Amino acid sequence: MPSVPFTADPNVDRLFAMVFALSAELTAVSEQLDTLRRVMQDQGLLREGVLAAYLPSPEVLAERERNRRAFIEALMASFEQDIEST
Amino acid sequence: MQFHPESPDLGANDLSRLGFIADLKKHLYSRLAIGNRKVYEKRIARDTDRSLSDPAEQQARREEIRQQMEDEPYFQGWSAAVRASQDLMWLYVGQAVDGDLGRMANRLTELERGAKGSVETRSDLEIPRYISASDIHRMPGNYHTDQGPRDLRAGAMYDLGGAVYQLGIGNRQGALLNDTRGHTLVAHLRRYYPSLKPARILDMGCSAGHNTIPICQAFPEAEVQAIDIGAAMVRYAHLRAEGLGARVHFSQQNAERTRFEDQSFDLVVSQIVLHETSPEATERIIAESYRLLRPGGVVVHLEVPIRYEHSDVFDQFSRTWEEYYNNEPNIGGAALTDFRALGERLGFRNILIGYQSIPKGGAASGEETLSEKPAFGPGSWYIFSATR
Repeated sequence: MPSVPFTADPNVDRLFAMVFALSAELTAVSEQLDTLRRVMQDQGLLREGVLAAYLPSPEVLAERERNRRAFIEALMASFEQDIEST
Repeated sequence: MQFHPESPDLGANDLSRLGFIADLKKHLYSRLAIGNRKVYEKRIARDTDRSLSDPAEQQARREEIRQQMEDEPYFQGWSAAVRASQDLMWLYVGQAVDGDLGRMANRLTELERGAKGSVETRSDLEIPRYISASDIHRMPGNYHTDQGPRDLRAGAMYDLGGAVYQLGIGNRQGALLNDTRGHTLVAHLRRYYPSLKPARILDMGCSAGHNTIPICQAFPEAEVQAIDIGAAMVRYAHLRAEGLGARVHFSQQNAERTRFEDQSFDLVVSQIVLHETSPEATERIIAESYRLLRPGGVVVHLEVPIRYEHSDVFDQFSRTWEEYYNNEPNIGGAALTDFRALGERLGFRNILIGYQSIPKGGAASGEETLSEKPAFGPGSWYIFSATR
């Protein structure tokens, strides 16, 4: 038997599940990076403290900002679609 | 990584998260806010909206617009996104600050040896209701929460949050020290009161002191006093000013009625304070600034550049988003305050009112002027200044 949705729009209940799956995957990626750092330090490939002390140059900051903005544009694209069609 | 040498130290993840939030906010305001106006124009606007001039009629119409906008999915989504980004910002700011409070407490102790300025707190100071009624800007702990005799949290939160907010509205230069108001105020003094050489200056409602410092730098010989109702706020302001080399005497006081004597200052200022009080408190603060001013002294009250006489009724509604949904106590009140009439009634002379341009590149040149109407392009702050 299908579950009765809690929220007025059943798609909102679905969104909870999708966000949680996304969060779990993000946790996995964070822990993978953590593993990578620790293994590299243990293997002598990366000195301790080097990552924490890394200061991105203005060029790196600018590139990260471009990537972030592209991501946000995609994330919020449905709003822009509404603006165009209003 | 720090926005300035004394600000909370951000880890890499803090910076990434806050960078995302700042860019998201910028996107919401610069790219997506227009969708609200389009919805209003398509389904809600009436021809008579543009010609409404009576403040009471405008207020009634703003309320109608708000009721209808709240049923519009685009406005609902946009508002939910803005609020979510605001609350997440404070969450991440709080995490960064809490991770650095220990270091900052040690830094305060270090700076106190040989401090040029000072700080005085009063645990019995009554917090005004317009502050305590809700967390202003939804900042957890608000301006006044004090966690102990060495607490710095409210000041650190406000300094870091303010910088992220400036980045979020596209002001990268201003974000680092978040001091464009102070520089704009100095620009106003240089242009309109060029012979002013104040011996004693008061900044009312200084919060983290970021806009007090440009005034110190403009008048290095003056004794500068700065007050705020938050203990942790003025303690942090003291740390920040000492670390950045400015000599300021901070104290925890209420700008409506201070402990200073009559006519004891040559220059009294307030910077974006009045819109966070109430119409009645605004009058009391301006009256207090008169009481504290020596004959011949100058008062400058600087505010956000939002004036209802220069906005149509939909713009007014947009501005009051901050009041309804972001806990800004008195945005509407400040936008309507007749500073000229109020100033004249209190006895001020030579009243100047208008939009003062923010100096390009930071420091005042002495050429920046007041304009009667807001200009597109360069930013400005709204100023009321006068002499006694």
